[in-house]
Order: sequence, then C-alpha cells, then structure tokens
Amino acid sequence: MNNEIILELENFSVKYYTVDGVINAINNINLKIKKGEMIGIAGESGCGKSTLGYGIIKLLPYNAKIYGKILFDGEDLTLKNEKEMQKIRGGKISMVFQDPMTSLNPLYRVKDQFLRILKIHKKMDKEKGLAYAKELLKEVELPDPEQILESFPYELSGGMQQRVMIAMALSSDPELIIADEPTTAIDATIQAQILRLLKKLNKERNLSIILITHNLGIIIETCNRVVIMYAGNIVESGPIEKVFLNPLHPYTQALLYSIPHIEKTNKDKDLPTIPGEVPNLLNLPKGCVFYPRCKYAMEICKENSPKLIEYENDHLIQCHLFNKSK
Amino acid sequence: MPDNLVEIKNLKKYFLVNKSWISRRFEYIKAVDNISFSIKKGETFGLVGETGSGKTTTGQLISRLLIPTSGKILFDNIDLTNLSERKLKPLRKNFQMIFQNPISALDPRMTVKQIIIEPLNVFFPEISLEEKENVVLNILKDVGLNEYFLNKYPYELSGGQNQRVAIARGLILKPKFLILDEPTSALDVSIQAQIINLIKKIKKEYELTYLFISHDLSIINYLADRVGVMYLGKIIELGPTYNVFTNPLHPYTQALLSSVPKLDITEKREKEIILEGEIPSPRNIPSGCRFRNRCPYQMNICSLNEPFLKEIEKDHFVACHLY
Repeated sequence: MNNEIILELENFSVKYYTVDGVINAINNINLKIKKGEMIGIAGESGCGKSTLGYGIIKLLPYNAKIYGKILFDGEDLTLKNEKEMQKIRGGKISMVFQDPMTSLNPLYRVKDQFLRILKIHKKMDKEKGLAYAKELLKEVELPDPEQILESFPYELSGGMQQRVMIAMALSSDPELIIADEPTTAIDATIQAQILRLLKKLNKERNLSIILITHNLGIIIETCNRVVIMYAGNIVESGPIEKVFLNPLHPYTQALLYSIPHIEKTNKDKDLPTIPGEVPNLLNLPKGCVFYPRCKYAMEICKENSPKLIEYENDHLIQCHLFNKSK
Repeated sequence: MPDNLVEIKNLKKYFLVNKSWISRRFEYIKAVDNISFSIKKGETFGLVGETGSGKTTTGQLISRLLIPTSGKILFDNIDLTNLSERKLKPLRKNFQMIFQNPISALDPRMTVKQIIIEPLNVFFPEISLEEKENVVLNILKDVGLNEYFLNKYPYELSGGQNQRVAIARGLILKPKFLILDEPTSALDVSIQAQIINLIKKIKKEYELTYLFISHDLSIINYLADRVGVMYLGKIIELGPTYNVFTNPLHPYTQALLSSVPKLDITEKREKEIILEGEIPSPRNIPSGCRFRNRCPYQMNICSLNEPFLKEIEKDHFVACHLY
C-alpha cells in the first residue's frame, strides 16, 4: 500500500431539508482515503454512515444538499453535473448495496444486466461482454458462470446474488468500491465467504474499499483503518490496531464493551450499556454531540463542540478529554 | 428441582407447498424434522441456527401458533399437541412470545396503555379498570419505562422503547415461560445491551424460563444455560452452553463459531474454518447427513445413514458420524 490519496472529503456536510426542519445528517467532516486501503465506517442507525457512502457519489434524494468538497483523483465531484456523475458512478466508483435481491433487476437475466453495464462503461459488444462477465464471475468464486449468466436473480441464493453484485461492481475496473452493509442480509457462514472475497479483491486489485457496517467485528477482521461515526460526526478514526487496542473516545469504548464477547464477557455481570438514545438529528445538542450520554461529561462539553485532533500518528479523536493534554 | 417445564418429543412440521407457481402437484417443506429436547424449569435454553434452519418454526410450534405435523409438546406435563383452541386458551397465559421487530408486533392504533392492558381484558375481565392500570404502571417500571409513556403510540417511541413495551405485554399475565424470537436483532448495538440486561433482570424477578432464539452466537453464549444448534430442521448439537462453545463437536458448530467476527484483535485464531457452498434448500434435503455436502470431513457413511444425537460427554449430544 502506498500513500497516494484517492479520495478526500473536505468540510463535508449533508443536510436534508424536510417539512420538520433541517436534518444534519453529516456535520463538517474531513476524511482521507488512501489507494488500496480497506476502510471501515462504523456507527449505529442514523449516525450518517450510509449518507456518507451515498453522498460521495452524490446519490442522495432531492431534498439533500451537499456542502464542502469531495476530491476524487484530484477532481472535485461537487462541481460535476448529473451527466458527468453518471460516468463516475459504476465507473471509477462502484457501489455494493445491502440487499442484493432489491438491487438486481428481477426481470432480466444476469447476463443482460452485465451486458448493459459493460456496454455503457466499457463499450463492449455482446461477445466480448459475455466473455468478460464470465471472467468476473470466476474472479468472485462463483461456480458454473455460464449457468449463472443465464439465470434470473430469483434463481440465485442471497450469497450468490451478492457475489454477482460484486462482480458487476468490478466490471468497470473501479478504483473505489463503496460497500454499504454488504453482508447484513446474509447468513453467518456465507458472510465469512463474502468478507474473504472482498479482502482478496482488495489485495489482488489494489482496490480501495469503503466498508460501511454496524458490526465492529467485521471491521476488525477485514479493514486496515476504521472511522467511528456518531450523529453525523467522526468521533474517532485510525488504524484498527490503534483504535481497538486503545479506544480513546468514550463512545468507542462503550460501543466495544456493550457487545457480549464469546470468551471474555462475564456472564454473571450485566453488560455495560450506553444510557439514553441516539440524539435527534433535527436539533443536535449544542456542544459535543455525545455529551448527553457520556459518563465523562464536563462543563466545557456542554458549550463547545470538540475538534477532531491527532492524538498520535494517524489516530484521530474528537473529544475534550484529549484536548487539554496536547 | 430440575423438573422439565417444556418437553418436546419427535416434533415435526411439514409445510405443504405447490411445486411451482401454477403446478397442482404438491411437495413438503420439512421445516422442523423430528427434533426432541426439553427445557428445565428456570433455565434459558438457546436455539441457534441460520436462516431456514427451523428455529423460529420451533418457537411457534411450542407456543402453538402453528399446529405440529406430528410429535408431542408437553408443557408442565400437559400435552398441548392436540388441544382444541378452547381448551388451550386458559393455558396460553402461561407462555408468551416476544418477537423480533417490536414495531410490527405492536398495534399502531393502540396506545402503550391499551397494548399492555389488552391481555388482562381478555383473561381477567372481572378486575376493575383502576386495578388493571395499577398493574400496568408496575410492569412499566419493571421494564424501565414510566407513566409518561402510557398515552404514547408505538410510532412515537424508539425501537428499544417499543421492545420494552412488547416485553411488558408479555409479562403482564405473569407467565412461566417466555419465547424470545430474536428480540434484539432489529436494535442498535448500544440499545441491544440495554434490552439484554433487561431480559436477564426480569428473568430473576418473575422467575421465568426462557427459550431464546437467535442467530447471534455471542448473545446466546452470554444468556443461555443450554444451547441447541439447528441445521435444516434438525438439532445437530445440544448441550450446556459452556461445553458447546468451548468444545464444539459437530463440524457445522465449529464452522459457525469460527465465522463469528472476533472483537479482540490481539487474539490470533488457531484456524479459520470457512464453509464452502450454500445451505441446501429445504425442498430438497441431501440424503443421509444434511450437512454432508458442506462438511470438510465427509465420509462414505454420511450419504447413506442419517446420524442421530449421541451423548459424547455428560449432557452434550451431537449428531455426526465422526463420533
């Protein structure tokens, strides 16, 4: 892995304008993604992790507005119009969605869906396209590619559908794949296969992958770096060895300890919990977003929102606890 | 007294389905195929398995939401299997069910108070309204809510709060036995921990026995005293949670445990077992051992004979030809 940066978000915000008011889905985040890196974005529902994934390729509903810059390969995607974006989506940046059944077209055979993508992005004719599709299906470890190309999506199992989705995402030789909860709808033993596949593609193709998931275990097993999000903010980010061995932010700590651990959790004790619920994004707390649920809350947290600072090399943290010491 | 509260003998549930969309020919889907186990008074029995393994069907059979094809269900030594709905009704207050998605399990047009009070109206119409409201208030406190929520509708509450209401409804008749079907899968991690703690707390306070159904091995390990692992309608391993998790015998259990993403990055896994292939469709189950086409240790005998549960160590059963 080199240090070339493939995607950079600068003061990136997404706001949804609704009848009830403005929803601050993502608040002013900065993020750099390196080439060949597998980065995990973790957080609970409503923390903005999916909005971040869709926001990068500007695939958001009409009432959403993006602020800041999205620098991809040195170009600012926020300045591109819809037509230019369509070339990038499924071209240099591909997406793998959570539920493969609803993202594949049920009315067309797999081969027709492949050919359409290959025609648009690679200008391949039918013959070349079919041969290339077969190769891709072999790369995602599907047995019997010919038969799969002739199948309709409903004839395939969930795991096979997700592999087809991944193969389609690869068809345009993307530089970045955004995978939004790719294994959430899939069983445990198949999940392990899909994760192994994503990791293999990441290594063999030197492909950058953004893996959005609520499951910290998946990130630990597959990613190089992790970003923890809470209520539209990045509260902590860094290499996984640093973040998970030495979690700094009270939210990261609470999140890690609240999951029962097969070997370590003491069954006689209650699980540590985070009191309260995720804040309403319509009116966020004035100071730190985590302040109302934080057990280390201080006076300053109520008034000022902390900034994301570098705690040690590449390990970033957004918390007042670490502001003073530096 | 380690008396059995629930006893299941050779339970089967076959669903009759059309062979294809317009076909008039029928075939059976063997959702639950000849399983037997018992749940002792006061214990938490965990049922774990992947989609289509029959764990939810088992839960619904025990609560008699489904009528078994054959086999026996004994609850407190009463045979529920062939009881008529009329005879079953007074018994129903002894066992209640908590579902996966609280939002769809609660009536959206009823307030929290109406939801929790409804079972009382059905079973104890003679009690005065005032008394009922008192009971509701007490239950609400037990599940960590308060009178503020009484007149709210489910859509006004969060997922965690809704699940608390569903648990309160399950508790109001003071049942002996709760069937919890994936009660935390629809919830966020931080809320999941709160509900798990609540489930543990009320078990002590109400002296309950649980059947806990989940696909999440770490939760089962945390809550259950004994565990049954299901695969394609069969129980393939059964035993005390500690034994099954530290010394898994069946190759499927071993693979399932290995597929749980580890939360600790310092710990190196000894060997990673990733199963090849997919779960076969319950429409055409492999002959002999159902797991054989994915099993790394497949032998000749596996396609010929179906393995039965054998006791390998005390109380630890496995259905595999390796043993």
